[in-house]
Amino acid sequence: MSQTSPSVDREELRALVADALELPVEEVADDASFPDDLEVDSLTALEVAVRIEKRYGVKFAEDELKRLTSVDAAHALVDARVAAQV
Amino acid sequence: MATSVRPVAIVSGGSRGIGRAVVHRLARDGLDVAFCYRADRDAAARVVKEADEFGGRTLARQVDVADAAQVRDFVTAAEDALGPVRAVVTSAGITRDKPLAVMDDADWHAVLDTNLTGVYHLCRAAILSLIRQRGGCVVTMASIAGVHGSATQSNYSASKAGILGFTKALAKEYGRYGVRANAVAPGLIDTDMTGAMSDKARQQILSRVPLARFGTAAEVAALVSFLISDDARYLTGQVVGLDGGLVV
Repeated sequence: MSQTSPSVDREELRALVADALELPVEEVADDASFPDDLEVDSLTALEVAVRIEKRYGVKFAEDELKRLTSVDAAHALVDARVAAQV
Repeated sequence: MATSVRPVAIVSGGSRGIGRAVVHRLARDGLDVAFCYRADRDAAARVVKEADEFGGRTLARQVDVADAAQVRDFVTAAEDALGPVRAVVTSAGITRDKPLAVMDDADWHAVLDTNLTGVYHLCRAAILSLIRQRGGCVVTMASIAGVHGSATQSNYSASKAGILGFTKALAKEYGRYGVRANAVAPGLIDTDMTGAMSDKARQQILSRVPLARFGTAAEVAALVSFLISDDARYLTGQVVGLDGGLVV
């Protein structure tokens, strides 16, 4: 688990997101907006968040769930949470 | 957060009537139960004492389900004390019966706020927990009034009909997480709510019930118990009537 490191592997996170979205990993750019660029619906976005929570052993607050709209955003949120746990 | 080997249920309206019977039944089934009640502290204390005799843990909180913050605090307290919620039963409900022509706005809003918005508040506060566990269930207490309408109960009927749509929407939204949602639609059940009816009214209605009696709160609780159980694991999005054949 990555909890031992304050830095979350971006490529691993991207692969997790791509898997949850059922998209090729190369289509999931750092700044691609889930709803606007990848046409991810709100329920699927929730699925992404829950998978990230489980993988990294974190729990997002509700306002954080709403901000989880790209790999960049997800990385920033998870990285901060994991770092806070160390 | 405390952990428990027993599943955890939260129940609204647990100090009286059907909600009280549900608390008893779920405790008997081996669940830890947190329930909220609106006013009757002594009745709630009795329910806790009775439920505790089944060997689990019971928590009671005074909550107005129409108040979102109070409901959130209740769910947080329940999970802190007992562990992640696995089952949600919404049973809090009130009536303010009047013909629509003379209904006060306050009577409309009071019933909708408690009966429908209260369901939203409780489910809203608990749903993420169910999603994170990838399983669990919601059982909402509707009514035959919500399915078929009931004279002098336009507010109550509307609130219960709203619960049906809400419950079906939950079933569709969260089935992918293994979360089930079903509504119970009781008919005439012997509770203090129906106890206020006149003998004449009771007899008139009973004449239309093929099983020729009122149902009991324990019978509703038994149905809730089934809906929560693994035996109902393929059952979701349904409205299950329990009315002695009244609407056949």
